[in-house]
Amino acid sequence: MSASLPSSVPGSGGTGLDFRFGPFRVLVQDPLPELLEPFLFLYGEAPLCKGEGIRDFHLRVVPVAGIRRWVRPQVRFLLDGASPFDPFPRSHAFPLMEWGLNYAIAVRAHQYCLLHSAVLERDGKALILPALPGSGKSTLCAALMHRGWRLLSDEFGIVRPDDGLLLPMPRAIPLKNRSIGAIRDFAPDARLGPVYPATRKGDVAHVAPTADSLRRQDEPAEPAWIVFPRFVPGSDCRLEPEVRSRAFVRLSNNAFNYHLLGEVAFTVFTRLVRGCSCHQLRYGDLDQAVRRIEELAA
Amino acid sequence: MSPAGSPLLDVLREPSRMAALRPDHWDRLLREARAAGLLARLESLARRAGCLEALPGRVRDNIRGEQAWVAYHQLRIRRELREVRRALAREETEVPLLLLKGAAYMAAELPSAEGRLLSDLDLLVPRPKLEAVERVLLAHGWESRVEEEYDQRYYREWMHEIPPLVHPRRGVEVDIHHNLLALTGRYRIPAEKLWARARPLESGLLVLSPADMILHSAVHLVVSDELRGGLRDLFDIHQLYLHFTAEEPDFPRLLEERARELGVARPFWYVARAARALLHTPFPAELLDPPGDAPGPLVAALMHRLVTRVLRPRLPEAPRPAVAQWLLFVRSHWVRMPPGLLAAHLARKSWWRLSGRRRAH
Repeated sequence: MSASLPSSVPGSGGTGLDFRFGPFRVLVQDPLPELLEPFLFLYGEAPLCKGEGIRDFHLRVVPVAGIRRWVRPQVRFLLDGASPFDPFPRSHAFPLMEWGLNYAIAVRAHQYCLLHSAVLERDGKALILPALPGSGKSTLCAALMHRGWRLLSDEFGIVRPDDGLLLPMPRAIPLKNRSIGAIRDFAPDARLGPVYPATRKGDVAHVAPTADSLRRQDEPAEPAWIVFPRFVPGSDCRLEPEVRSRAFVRLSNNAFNYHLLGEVAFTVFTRLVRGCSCHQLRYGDLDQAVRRIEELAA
Repeated sequence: MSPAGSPLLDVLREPSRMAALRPDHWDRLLREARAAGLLARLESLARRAGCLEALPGRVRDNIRGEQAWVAYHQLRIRRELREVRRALAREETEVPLLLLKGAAYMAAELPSAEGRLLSDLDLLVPRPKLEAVERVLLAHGWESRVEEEYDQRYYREWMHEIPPLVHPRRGVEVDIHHNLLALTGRYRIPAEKLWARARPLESGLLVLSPADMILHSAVHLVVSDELRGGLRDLFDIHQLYLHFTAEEPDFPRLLEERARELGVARPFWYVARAARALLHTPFPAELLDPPGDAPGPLVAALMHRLVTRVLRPRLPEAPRPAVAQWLLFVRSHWVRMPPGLLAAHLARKSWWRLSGRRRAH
């Protein structure tokens, strides 16, 4: 990876890294090299913005003051000057920024209904994979993305209340521990970022969004399928229909801002669940799961 | 170029300016507004100025995001008020309830309610009914937020309220006052004077008279710690003043008379000057002239500088004017407590902070 940011890159000036993913424009002020290099490796220059503009989030990842600036150096994430988390090692500046950006979206972006789900699209129709512990959502999402599905997001199902459409925000997919190897095997041409050892969630590496996903980040999608995935090692692959009323409850419990949005969320979720074919998927093998979903979408 | 050096102040003074702002001014304005708690209010300002459609999409998105919080909290407060009334009605306790601040603006449908984030429910009840009200609420599931005996005394004897009550199922803080300013403070308003001019709403609840609403907000701003609530409260006063003056052209004179009658001309004067300086609130000369008990020109100038410095919009990473805020903090306690009591109180509080004890307020 290159050691420094070329001065010709827009948004790279002394002030900061200025970029956009889907509906959100972000400025990271004074980006450290540990943040910039993985960013450019995974995303290239496509998301970068030029010139003056209105940003949704002003972020900083700054070295911690005092002795931890030099001894086992740490950095802190700041959203408009406020630091919501404990510090991370400086070498983990990039995953910290990604995690912090997700936090900022979850706290502020209530102009949308925010599902905690992966979302992918094929032929104009969107697949929603709600995230639950043990679902293997990110791994499944990364796998599908490498079988021709367009990535909208690995983390947020962004629903626009006015029309019920899902908005893309294609960002790097964080994989943990064994999933890293699983995706390397499943999709040898996947673009994988550096492995960050021993984070709070174990080893983490990021899968870059495909060029197609990044290119079409302004193209919303109509929701068509809701599939609740559950990864059980060694199990067979079973896709079963889910009763709509239960799908509604599971989906609303899983959302970031259902309670906050109240009646608006109720209306949006009702329409969403009614308009989708709802299922639950139990799987132990990634290939089988992907094939089963392909069959569903055919 | 921003005339006020702050795009937020520019648009608060003249909302129609929102129609023609450059993107980098909007970028700064959103941050200033969010930090000041005024982001959601920009929508109603733009709508009333007829320039809502001219706002960039990203600006409207951010405002709408903030409005979700506002709507949620307003609903919570409305519900809490309903529960309080229900509990009192069940015990057949006839108590006149007077709403204060945000809840009052909401109930009276004033412009300052639009987009306003409220977190607590503030109620005024007559002093003789205070114990009955507390008893009823405690019996119906509300719990006292404050356990330390010292802090209980702080609230009851020195402040003007019983310690905050919270119903564990709903989590909304209910503050029951019997007067508006600390019993030990320098500015004491006899509650009967407020009740005498209170206005009833259709629902049977009461709110302060227009002049009293403004004076309460102003004095509360000056005597609160660090001018907490700051620019947002100053803007409330600005909006209320414009609204009431439009309804009643003689309002400025009534306001000035009432300030003198309640003995709060001096703190109101600080606020009026700050509002004039920062927001260009069109107070007439009579309200901006020093009152009879005004301090000497040196102290007055210092207070004016401190107040406006602390209230000015700031970007989140800009350093807080520490000295200015500390001085105002000390002063706010001074106006709440006699100096001897204040010294003892501060000493006790700083000991607790150092030894890690949980602070009550």
